[in-house]
Amino acid sequence: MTVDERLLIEKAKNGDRNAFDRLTELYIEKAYSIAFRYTGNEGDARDIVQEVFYKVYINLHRYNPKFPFSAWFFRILVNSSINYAKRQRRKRFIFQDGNPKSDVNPVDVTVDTENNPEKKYINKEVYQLLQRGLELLPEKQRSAIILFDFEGFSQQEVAVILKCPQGSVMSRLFYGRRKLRKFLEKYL
Amino acid sequence: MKCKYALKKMYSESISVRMKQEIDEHIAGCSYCQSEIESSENLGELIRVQRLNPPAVQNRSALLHEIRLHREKRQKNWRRRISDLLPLEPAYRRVVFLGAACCVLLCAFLLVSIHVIDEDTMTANNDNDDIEYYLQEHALTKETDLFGQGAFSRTFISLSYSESKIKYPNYNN
Repeated sequence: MTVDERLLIEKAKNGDRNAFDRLTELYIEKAYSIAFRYTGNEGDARDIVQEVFYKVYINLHRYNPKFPFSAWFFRILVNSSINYAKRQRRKRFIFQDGNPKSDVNPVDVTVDTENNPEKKYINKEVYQLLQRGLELLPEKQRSAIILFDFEGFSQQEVAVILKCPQGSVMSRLFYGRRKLRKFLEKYL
Repeated sequence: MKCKYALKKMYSESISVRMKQEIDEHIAGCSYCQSEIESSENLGELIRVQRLNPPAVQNRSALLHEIRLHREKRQKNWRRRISDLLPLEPAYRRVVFLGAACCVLLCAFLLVSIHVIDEDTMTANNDNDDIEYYLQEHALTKETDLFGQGAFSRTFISLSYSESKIKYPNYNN
């Protein structure tokens, strides 16, 4: 955590809305990315991000500065995303055909820097499959994979965010990837 | 050792050093376990390629604006009103609230204690009526009250019959 960030948190705690807005700007990309991985849907990801920043704003006085702010923030984000995804799945199950498939269209939402159209296409295909596979994983394994593999957090950071030992993170990663591989094997 | 068990306990932190050694030995000599671990790592690599293409926030400034609006909307009205009324820092505002709460509690305590005093006076008056009734019932007058002026009678009334007999054996009505 940088000095600047600490200062912003302190100001935001004392009710400075501009400081909180700047803090929001710092975390918005990462928050959106994680929320998107959980829901696979742009609209839902936006809803989650809004709700999470509101929760953080309301509960900022509860944050203990001894621990990293990012871990606290991402824990709120992960929990909110899991709850939101659960709610959505339940809604889909009740009001639609009971098929928990994502309605994501990754072509619209991913930013691909590659110029090679073939590689671009494969990437999109893989991305779509990965997103669908992720939805089928149990929450704990999904969280570990999203945070470690997709978002690039270290195992230690993931352990802090998910409040579990590092060994559990590694084990969740292993079993999650195994399930994901079995799912991908059907299509690739 | 079975592969399933070895893979399950491979990352466990609660196993003994000896068990850990056994698991490591098994994995080193087992092609199935090795292929499982390798394929898991390969998939990790595949996913990490996707990390390069994170889902970008479309219309970032609009989302920031939405977040701000959402926050304003969700903030409870009374909270916003209070913060408008008391444009202080939250720490000072808390002190003011605490002071106000203490004042309210003090007032409530005073009101209750005044009410209790009134109740006591009422009860005392009722006691006097009871004494009069008791004296009439037992054909006594206040003059026969040995200790005089109704003070004893009041004490007597407040005691049960057996208690009064023990405490004042000579008083015979």
